Amino acid sequence: MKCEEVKINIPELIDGKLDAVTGAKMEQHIKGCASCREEYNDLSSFLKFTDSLPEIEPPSGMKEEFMMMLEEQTSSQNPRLIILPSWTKAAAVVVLALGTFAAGYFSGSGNGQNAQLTAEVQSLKQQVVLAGLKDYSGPQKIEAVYSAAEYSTQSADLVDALMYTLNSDKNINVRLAALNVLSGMVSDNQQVKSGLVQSLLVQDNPLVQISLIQVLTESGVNEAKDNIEFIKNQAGTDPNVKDFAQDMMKTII
Amino acid sequence: MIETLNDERLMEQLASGKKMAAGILYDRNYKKVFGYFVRMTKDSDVSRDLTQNVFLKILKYSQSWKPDKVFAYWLFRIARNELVDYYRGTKKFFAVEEDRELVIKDSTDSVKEMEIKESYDILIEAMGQLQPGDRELIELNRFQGFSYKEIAGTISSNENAVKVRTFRAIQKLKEIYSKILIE
Repeated sequence: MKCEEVKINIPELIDGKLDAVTGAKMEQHIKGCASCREEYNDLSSFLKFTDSLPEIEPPSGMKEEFMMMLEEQTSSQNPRLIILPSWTKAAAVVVLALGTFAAGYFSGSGNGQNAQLTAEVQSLKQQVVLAGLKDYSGPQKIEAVYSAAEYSTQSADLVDALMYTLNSDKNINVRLAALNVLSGMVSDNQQVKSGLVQSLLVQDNPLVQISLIQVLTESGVNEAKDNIEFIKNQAGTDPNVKDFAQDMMKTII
Repeated sequence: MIETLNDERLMEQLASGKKMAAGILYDRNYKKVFGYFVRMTKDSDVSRDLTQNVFLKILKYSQSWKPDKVFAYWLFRIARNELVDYYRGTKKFFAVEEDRELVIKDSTDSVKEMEIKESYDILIEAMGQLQPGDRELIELNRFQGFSYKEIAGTISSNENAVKVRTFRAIQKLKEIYSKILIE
């Protein structure tokens, strides 16, 4: 082997990508050739260094942004979540206080105006809850999720917001809380049903996957079969999830 | 035993209309694509947009997927085209960017870590000073882990030429890196 040929093959030797015969020839040459040995040592430490360059962390929210775009494309008639400006967080207290005041002021009057106002307050409250689902994080968000259940009129916006939380929130506890609330709506809401079936494809945490499979199979959602099988067969799925999926598959037709 | 779903099988699912498969493909690959763009452009905001565009294109062109393709090459061909379009649009075809704020996260809390971070910064700076073609070879071979044969398939060249050019590119990178260290 000539030096030039040896040198060009050094990166592959370092990466262990050469066949045994070529590798042995290379090593023999390097042992007896000072110039190639120097090249080998230099490249070996340099490539070790370049290979250790840490993965560049993408900006937060990037994945969620794509999942939102995907969701929009997936369901064409999907009603959009009202995006509220961030001042609504500060306004939350005011709105809730107004709600309490209005309810107190009009209580007992029993006229149509009262009903209308109550409805409006209810809608405002729901908007605040939706804003909370969008903007809060951690414990505050779990609270927002459960408030959503409390005010639930199962509007499409609310289901959307909960579904987005389930699919995109970084905190597993928040995702589980969203699933918990959604699981109460699954039996009589087609939007929730199909949303949860789709969610099977985006969840990567074993706990959430298991909970989701449990909710869907126990509610007898047969449409979930394909996607549960998908999780079960996907490379990288946790073995416990695979076993669970296997068992639960038997319970649906 | 049913075969596990690799990226190619997911593409088949996507091509057959299961759009949510794109979510899994995205999740598996977006960091790689984002890292590629950052190293090529040194601009995090641009890289974010380019990455999203790549996956939207995958969604858009999923119908043209052929089962004999390898997803990783296909993905990088799309990413590469996206980069070329970007530079055409900004009239800076593969130009060496001026130094912008480096993207590696600054989470250093000791002198040792500081030194390591600095050496990575210098490495990225050295990458920026390479000729664009050389930079791409290093990117694909060292950072994306493509073999010479795979690179040849991606950039329409032949394996041996890629091998020689990659070796030279690594040497140039090493020289530039050492030069910056001394300066």
